[in-house]
Amino acid sequence: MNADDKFQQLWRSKKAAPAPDIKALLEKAASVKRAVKRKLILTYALLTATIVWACWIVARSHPKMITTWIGVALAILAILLYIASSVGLVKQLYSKGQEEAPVQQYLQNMLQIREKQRRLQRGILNAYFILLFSGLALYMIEYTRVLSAGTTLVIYGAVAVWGLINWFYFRKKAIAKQEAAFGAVIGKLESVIADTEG
Amino acid sequence: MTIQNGILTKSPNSSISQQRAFDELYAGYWDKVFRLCMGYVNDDDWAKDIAQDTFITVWQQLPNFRNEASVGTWIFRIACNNCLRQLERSSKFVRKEVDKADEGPVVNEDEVNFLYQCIATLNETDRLIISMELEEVKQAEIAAILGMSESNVRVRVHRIKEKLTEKFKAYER
Repeated sequence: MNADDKFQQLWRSKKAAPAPDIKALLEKAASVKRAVKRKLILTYALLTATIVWACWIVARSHPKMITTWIGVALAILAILLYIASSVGLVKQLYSKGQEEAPVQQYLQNMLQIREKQRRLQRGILNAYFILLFSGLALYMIEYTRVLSAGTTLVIYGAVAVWGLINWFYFRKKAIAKQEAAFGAVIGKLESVIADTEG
Repeated sequence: MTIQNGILTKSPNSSISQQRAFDELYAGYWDKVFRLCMGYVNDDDWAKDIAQDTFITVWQQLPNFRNEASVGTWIFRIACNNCLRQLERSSKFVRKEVDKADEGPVVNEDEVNFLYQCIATLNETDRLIISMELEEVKQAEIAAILGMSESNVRVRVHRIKEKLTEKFKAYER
């Protein structure tokens, strides 16, 4: 037997895992759909709860200055952005069924999605920190007005230090983590695309 | 919907006939798709998962299938894309059998497993090419599925088979 025939015979001798029952297969498809729906509902519930909670806090403290309201709005926006990105809404935004596309096109599409996601996630992360801290700074104006200049300086100083630590340590760390994850996938996709073009 | 010589024809009674056409495709292609996925990941459970995802897509997209390619080519294309989607699960992307295969003769492993181990050592594209070649998909179709030229596929099939033959010679020694 020549090598070709032998490989063919060996290849076909591999015992395939039994095909799952069609009903079970279709049930799996339906359950995946349900899980996506559940996740989406949960996300909306979380977003709504966040807004309600923030409004409740603000309503209780009866702010009078516009800066306080702007501050709260910015902080809410930051939290909403963070939740939306952490639950994978960004991914869902771009993911469309492309399984039928020719392989090269499918890979190119996957690559584009990941690159867009990488840019967007980074932008969201930057926006999150900027919005949160500028929101906090604006919110504090009304309540620090009644304090002495020294105390106000100390409070703002502490917030500024905390903001800088967040910006230069936590944000940098989060970006590095994201970059590592995206970089690995993007690198692999690029190498396979190059391989199919070669 | 009925399948004749790889051509899908649509009939007005769509939902029952879609179910029937799908049953036929599922029965006829499950083993082939499973082996293709095995050639790619060399892991039974993982291959089964990818094969299942492939047939879920087939089920969902069957009503939109246009006979631009044979139904077999279409299914293999979906399977290849599903295999390549595993690139995103980078942390799970281990070729635990690769080192074994590289070390030389494998003790207590039969030739079938050895062949799949050897295929696991190849790069992503080569794994798909040889899996489809061994599944007797025409080289022109492999080229169309992967978006490569037919001559490129032919050259690569030749090289892959040479590599496999060398490994088998070392294994048999």
